[in-house]
Amino acid sequence: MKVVSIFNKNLKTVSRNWVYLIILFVCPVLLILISGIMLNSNDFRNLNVGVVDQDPGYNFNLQSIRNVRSFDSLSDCLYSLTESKLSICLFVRDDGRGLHQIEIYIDNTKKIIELYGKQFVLENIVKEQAEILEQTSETIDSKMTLYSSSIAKARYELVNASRELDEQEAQLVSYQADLANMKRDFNEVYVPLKNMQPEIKSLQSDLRKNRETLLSNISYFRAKKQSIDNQISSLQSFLSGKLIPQDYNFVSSGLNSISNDLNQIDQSLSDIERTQSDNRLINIIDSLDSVIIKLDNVKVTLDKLDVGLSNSIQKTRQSGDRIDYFISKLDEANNEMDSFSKSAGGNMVTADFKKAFQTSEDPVFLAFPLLISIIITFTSLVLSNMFILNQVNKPSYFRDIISPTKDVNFIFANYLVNLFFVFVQAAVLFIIGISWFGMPFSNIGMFVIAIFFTSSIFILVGMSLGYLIKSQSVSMLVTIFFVMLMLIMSDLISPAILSGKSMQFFISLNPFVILHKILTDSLILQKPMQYILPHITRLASLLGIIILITYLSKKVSEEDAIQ
Amino acid sequence: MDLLEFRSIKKRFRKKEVLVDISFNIKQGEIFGLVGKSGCGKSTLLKILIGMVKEDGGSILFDNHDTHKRLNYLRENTGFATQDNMLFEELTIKENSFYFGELYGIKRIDIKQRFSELIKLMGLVGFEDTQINNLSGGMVKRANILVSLIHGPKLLVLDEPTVGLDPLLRSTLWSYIKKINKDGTTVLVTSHLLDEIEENCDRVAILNNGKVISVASIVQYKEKYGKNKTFGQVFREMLE
Repeated sequence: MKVVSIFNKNLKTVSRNWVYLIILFVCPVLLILISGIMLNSNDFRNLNVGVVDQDPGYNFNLQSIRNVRSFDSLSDCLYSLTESKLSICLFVRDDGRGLHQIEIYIDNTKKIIELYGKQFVLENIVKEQAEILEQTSETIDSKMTLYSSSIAKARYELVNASRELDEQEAQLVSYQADLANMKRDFNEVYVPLKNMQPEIKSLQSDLRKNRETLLSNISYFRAKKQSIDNQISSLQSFLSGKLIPQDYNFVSSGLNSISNDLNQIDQSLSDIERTQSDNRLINIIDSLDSVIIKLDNVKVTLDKLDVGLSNSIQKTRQSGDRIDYFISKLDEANNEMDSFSKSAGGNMVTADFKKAFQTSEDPVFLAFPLLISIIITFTSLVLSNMFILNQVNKPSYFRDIISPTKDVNFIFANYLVNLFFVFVQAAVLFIIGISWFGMPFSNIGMFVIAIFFTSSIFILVGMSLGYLIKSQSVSMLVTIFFVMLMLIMSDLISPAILSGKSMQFFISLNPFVILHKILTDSLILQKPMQYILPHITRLASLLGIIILITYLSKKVSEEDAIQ
Repeated sequence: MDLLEFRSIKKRFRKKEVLVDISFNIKQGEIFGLVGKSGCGKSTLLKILIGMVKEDGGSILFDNHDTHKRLNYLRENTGFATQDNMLFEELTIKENSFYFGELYGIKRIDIKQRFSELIKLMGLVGFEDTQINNLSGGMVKRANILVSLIHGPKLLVLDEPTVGLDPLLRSTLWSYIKKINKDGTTVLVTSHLLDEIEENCDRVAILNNGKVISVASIVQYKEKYGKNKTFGQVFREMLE
């Protein structure tokens, strides 16, 4: 009964303060509204991006960004970044080796912006790289097909060439055999002729010498004949006067006959000379000599031909071997290309983002558990603290504590009235959840349980602080510090999962985190009760501890009030 | 018959001795005054009485019960009103009365009856449903006393009840206190205003430096220090 009286009194004192009530019930709705507007308009496309493009060959895709500004220099862009006019500064340039290099400057003082920025840039680059990869892959495929067919053609040609080389080699070998026969026949002629060459040389020399002697003798004979002719003429003229005509005629005719004979000899000699001038024998002998020389050349040529043929055969054979080697290499290349095509296809990484949970994508709905958690945490702590401060700093508190009513009654009644207001607030939030986000009504069980345990803990903490620290300003500061501590030791600033083990342990004991987890599991993920039970157990343990602390705080508070 | 008896009460705050061997008794049905200079230990003694401060030595008997053993008995039978408003300002006189009555374990029907008597007694008829923050200073003082009496205590402790009131309101308030006393409630009152103590109290204890230097009726004080002297003059003479 006493608890009911205290509860009624508390309810009346609070409900008659309209400002208090307005703050209590209008604020959460306003918070949800403002958060909703903020989250709905939250779009990374609103990022302010500055671009310094010094690579005309590259065009970074910024179509998805609404606020893009171009800068001539990196310093101008960075200046705007430091002035908070930009969130990202992209410096696109050619690295001098034909590669497109993008330096990305991100405002790293704002972690969410940084994450958004990185997400945006990486998404674009990955998308672009994927397109390039796809194009490259297609090009490689077509090139591979082309190369494969070229290799097949080359192989075919090489096989033909190899076969032709084999044929050519066989032909050359046959030529070489013919040549060997020819050389053998040639040598049968050439060797005796070559052996005769010194004699021919000697004969040639003798012939030349004889001819010169003959010609010299003929010249000598003609000179003597001229002299004889002259002497005959002189003798005739001399004898004409001296001899009788008959004698003279006789002598003269005899002299004429000598002269005629000499002329006939001269004629014969002329014939001989003419015959000598023909040089047929010499020519034949000379021809023989030149024949031998030419035969020498022929022999050299034949030998060269033989060597050449051997070399050709050798080279043809080597060419054949090389072609066979090429064919085997082409086969290897073909095999490698086949395996490359297969392995390229096999090692290709494809990333596809899938949703782990089939739930609404509405950002306000997804943030709804967090908003509820923040509101409930803040309200429970601040409301209960204000409530207790309002009590303990009034003389009426003194009348309360001198009454024969146990402390537990006051603690319980004060707790109940705070819980009542928190639940009214929670009801408003739940109605918002149902009407705005289509939250199923069946969630009410887990919602109530989670809110009950968490708000109870926070109410009792707020009450304890109110009992222990009676200075309104100090107590409120400590309470707000506690609220901040709860928010900081959560996922709000940085993901708790990234914290160290010991910090994660403390975070796991944070009722705000637990409430957020339960509400997310139940409202968003629609998990059944057995997933929530461990969290509830943890909250219940914390509640037990905090009940004890609150009782002790109340005791200390009474001592202080008396002092 | 003694309603209340202090026996050798001692209290120290750190090195300072606040109360030294305090012993006196309050008879049933009287208006007992407790006076002394500021810081003489009056408030500490009253807090020890209602169990809010633990004495270092001595004992208190209330209605022949040791308060150490039966603190709740004392609390159930004692009304306490200080110079400050000990009521919830957002509530009406009636709501405050019912609230505190229920804290004292009184049935609502009894509270209702008691309230109707007290509201008349304290001259607050017509203001039952007025919130405390809408009452005048004098009314608040009376309402404060009314709520202190809602559980029908045997002893009413009033700590500086008339502070901040004009002489007319003081006089009115004392007339109500006397009415309460006539109805059978013993009154223990502290005040700096010695004239109202002289006028209204049956007996007066004078505290100085944590010691009771005298307990007597006003008549006895005057007999001892001069009939023509006011209690105020006697008080000053004693302290000198």
